[in-house]
Amino acid sequence: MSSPKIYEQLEGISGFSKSLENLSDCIKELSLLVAPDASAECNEFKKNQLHNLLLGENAESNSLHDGSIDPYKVYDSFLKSPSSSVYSHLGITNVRDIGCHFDELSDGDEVSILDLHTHKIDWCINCSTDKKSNKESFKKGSVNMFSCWRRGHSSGKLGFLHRSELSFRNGNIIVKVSDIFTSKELQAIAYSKFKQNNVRVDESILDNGTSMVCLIHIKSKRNKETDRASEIKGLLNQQLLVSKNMSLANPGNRKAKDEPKDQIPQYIVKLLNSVHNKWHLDGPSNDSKGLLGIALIHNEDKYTTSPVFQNILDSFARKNNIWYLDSPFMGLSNIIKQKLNFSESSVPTDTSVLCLIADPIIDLGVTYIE
Amino acid sequence: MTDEDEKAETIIAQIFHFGRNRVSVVLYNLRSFSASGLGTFSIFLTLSFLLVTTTLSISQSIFNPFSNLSLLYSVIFSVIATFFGHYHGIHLSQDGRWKLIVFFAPIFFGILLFLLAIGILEIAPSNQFIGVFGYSVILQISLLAGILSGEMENANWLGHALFMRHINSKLPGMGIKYLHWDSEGKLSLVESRDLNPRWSESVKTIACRIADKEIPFSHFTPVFYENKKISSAQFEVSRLFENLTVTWKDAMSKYQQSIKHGEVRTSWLNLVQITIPTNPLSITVQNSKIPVKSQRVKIDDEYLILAWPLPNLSWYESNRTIFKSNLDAPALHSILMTESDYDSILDIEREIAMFGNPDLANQNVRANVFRSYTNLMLLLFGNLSQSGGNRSELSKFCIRSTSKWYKSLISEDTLFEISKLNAFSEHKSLLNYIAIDEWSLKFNDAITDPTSLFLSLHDKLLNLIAENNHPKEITACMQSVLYSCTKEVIISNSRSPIEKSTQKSSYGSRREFGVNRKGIILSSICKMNLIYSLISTHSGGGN
Repeated sequence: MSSPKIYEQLEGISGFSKSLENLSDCIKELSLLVAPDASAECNEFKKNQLHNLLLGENAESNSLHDGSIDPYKVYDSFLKSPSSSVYSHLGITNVRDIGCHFDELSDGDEVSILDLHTHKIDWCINCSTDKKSNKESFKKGSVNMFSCWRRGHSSGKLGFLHRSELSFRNGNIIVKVSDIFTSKELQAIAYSKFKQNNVRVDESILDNGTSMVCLIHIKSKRNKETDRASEIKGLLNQQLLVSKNMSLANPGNRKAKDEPKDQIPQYIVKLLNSVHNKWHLDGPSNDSKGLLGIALIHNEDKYTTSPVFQNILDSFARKNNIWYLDSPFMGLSNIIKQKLNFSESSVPTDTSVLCLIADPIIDLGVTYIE
Repeated sequence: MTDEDEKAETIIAQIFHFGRNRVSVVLYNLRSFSASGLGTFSIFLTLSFLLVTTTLSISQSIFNPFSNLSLLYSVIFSVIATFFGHYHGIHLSQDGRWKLIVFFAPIFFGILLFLLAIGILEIAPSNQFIGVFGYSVILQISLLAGILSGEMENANWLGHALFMRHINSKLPGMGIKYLHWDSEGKLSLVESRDLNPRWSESVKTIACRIADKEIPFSHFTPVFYENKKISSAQFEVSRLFENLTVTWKDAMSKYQQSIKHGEVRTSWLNLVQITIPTNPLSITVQNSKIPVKSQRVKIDDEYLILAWPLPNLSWYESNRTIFKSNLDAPALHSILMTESDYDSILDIEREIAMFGNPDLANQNVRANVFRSYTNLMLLLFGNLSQSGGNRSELSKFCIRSTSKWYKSLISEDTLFEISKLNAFSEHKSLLNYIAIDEWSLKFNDAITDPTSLFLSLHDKLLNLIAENNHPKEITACMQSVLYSCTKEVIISNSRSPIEKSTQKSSYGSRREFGVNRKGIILSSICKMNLIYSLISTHSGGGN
C-alpha cells in the first residue's frame, strides 16, 4: 500500500500518473463489489457471481474437467439460453446479455464474455477505435459513448473526473492535481487505500461517475512565475545583503527559462504520452487502450489555438490512433459543460482546458488483486 | 527406701502423671473446637423434657421447689439467660465444649425434678440449696428457649468454624495465599490469615468483610505465589477437603463451593480481561500438553506472571451457577459480578478498550465494539471447548481471523470517525452491543447457510453505503471490510487444478480447503456483522 503522504507529492508528470494509477487500483477493487451497470440484470449478475464465488467449485465444473461431458456442447447450450446472465460465469454468458453493441455482432454469433476477456474475440479492443463516431458523440454531449457493462458505467460508481492545472514554478512548468470527483463508493475506497483527501463527491455534476476523464486547465497568461529564489534574492538586494547560500543565476540558463510558455507544448506531449501509457498498462482492465480521445476546449485563448499547440495535439492523436477535437468554449454543448463541470468561472477568458478521455473499460471477471 | 515405699512412690507418680494427662486433655478439649452434634430437635426435646418434669415437680411433689424463689430475681435471670441463648445459640448448640451446659445439665436437672415429682427424692423446705436448684432450672429453661429462638438452625457457623480451623489455618504452611480479583477488575494478593470468610445474610453467600465492605468469598481464589509466578492452588485445597469426614465436608460445602466458583471466575476473568485483549491466538492452542496459559498481570504496581488454565465450565453454566447474571449482559460485567449499570463504562473496560488513552469522544464506540467483540470471542471459545469437529475448527479459524482484524480496526482512526455519529454521544449507545446469544444465533445461521448470510450482509452493507450520507471515513470502513472479505473468498478459491492421478489421495487437502473456505466466509460474516451493527444501529437503521 502506498504511503498516506503520496497525494502531497502529486505534482509533475509522475505525480499525475501516480494519481491515475491509484484511481485505477480503486476502480479494480470497487468493480469487485458493485455492478458497473444500473440495470437489474447487471446487479443480478454481480450477485450471482459473488454467490458462485462463495460456493466455490461445484460438481458441474468437475464433470466438465473429467471429460465425461463435452464442454463445447454445454457452453453452446448456455450461450443460446435466453437468460444466461443468471449463471454469472463469463464462459457461459452471452455478450448480448452485457449490452454489447459492437458493429460486427450479428444474430448468429454465440460469443461469451470470456471470449472478449481472453482476446479470442477482439471486439472490445476494436470497439473503441471508431474515431469519427466517438468524436461526433462527444460533440453532441456524450462523454462516454458506450453502453455495454464493460465501458458504459451507467451505475455512475466507477467513473471519475480528474482535474489538474498547469502552473509555473521556478521557471518550470508543472502539472498539479487539484481535485478528483467520484462516486462516494470510489471516494471511500480511495480514502481507505491511500488516505486520499482530494477526492470529492459532487452530485451537481451531471452523470458524474459514468466516464473517466482528466481535465488539465491551461492558463498560459494568468499563471505567474513563483520563483522563491528570485523573491528571496530581491529582498536581499533591497537590503544590500548577500547570501553565500544563494547560487548566482546563470544568465544563459535564466534566459532559457524566461519564456516558460515555450515549454508548454513539449510538456503537454510528455504528459499525454505518460498518461496514455500509464492507462494502457495500469488501467482498470488488461484491455485498456489508454486514452480514447482528446478535446481542447479554449475560451478565446490565443496560445492554445496557435498552430504550434494544435499541431502537437493533432500529431499525438494521429500517432496513437485516437480522436482529437478542438472546440471553442462557447460552441460546446451545454450537456458537455454540465458533465465536465464547466462554467464561465472555471474556464475564464484566455484559458483552455484539455480533456483526456480515458478508456473506461473494466473486467467483469473476478480475479485476485494485490 | 523400702520396696513398698518405692511402689507407693511409683503409684503416686503414675496417678500424678495420669491426672496431669487428663487435665491437659481436658484443657486441650476446652481450647479446641469440636462439633457437639446437637441439632434443633435435640435441644427441643431437652427443653420439653425439662418443662414436663418441672410441671410435674410443681404439681405432684410434696414440696414445690420454686415456691421460695424471688420473682424479681427469677425474671432477671430468665431474661438474661434468654438473650444469651438467643445471641449465642450457634456457639452453645454446636460447640462441644458447651454440651455440658445445654444438654447434660438439663437432663440431669430434669431427672432430679422427676424424682422429686414421684416422691423418690425428698428435699426439706429448709434446705439452703433448694433456691440454687430452682434458679438453675429457670436459667436452663430460659437458655434453651433462647437458643431455640435464635439462629441455631443455621449450620453455616459450623462450616465457618471447621473451615477456619481445618482448611484456612493450614494454607500459610503450604505457601498458599488468596488472589483477590475484585469487582473492578483489580488484582491483589491476600494472606489467608487476613481473611475470615463467613456466611453473610445480606449477600446470602460466604463473604469476607474488608474495609467495611462485604466481598463474596468467590472473588478470592487460593494460589501459589513463587518467583513472581502465580498459579492455582485449587487442587491442593480440594485435597484438604477430601481428607475430612463426610459430615464436616457437608458442613463446609458452601466454602468448598465458593472456592470452586472463585477458581472458575478467575479463569473467565483471565480469559476475558487479559487473554482476549492481549493474546487471543493463545486460546486456539488448546490441548492437554499446554493446559495453562501464562499472562502478565499487574498486581500492586508490580508485573507478575499468572499461569491459569482456561475455563472448563461452559459460559452458560458459569453464568447460571456463579455469575447469576442476565445472558444479555456484557461479559465483563457478568464475570466481575459488578453492580454497575450496563450503560456505564467500567474503568477496566476503559483501560482495555481505550489503551489507557481516555479520549472522551471515542469512549462509547470503543466500549461498544469491545463488548461485541468479547461476546463473539466467548462464543467462539465455547465452540472450541466442544468436542472437536468442524464447528471447533471453524471457530478456531474465526478467532484467528477476527482477532487480527479487530486489532487493526481499533488501531485505526475509523472508530474515531464512527464515534462522530450522533447516537454515540448518548450513554444508551453502550447498550447496543451484540450479546452472546445474538452472536450464537448468527453463528448458527452462518454454519447452516454461510453463503446466503454472507450475501445478505454484503447487500445490507452496500445499501447502507448507498442510502446514507455517511462521512467518507465511515463509508471507507464499510467498503474496506467488504473488499477484504470478498478478496479473501477469491483467494480461497484460487488454487491450482488437481491432477487426475493425485485426486484419490487428496482427500485431506480437499477437506482442509473446505474448512478454510468456510472459515473465511464465517469470519467475514462476523466482521461484517460487527461493522453493520455498529453503524446501522447508530445511524437510524436496524438489524
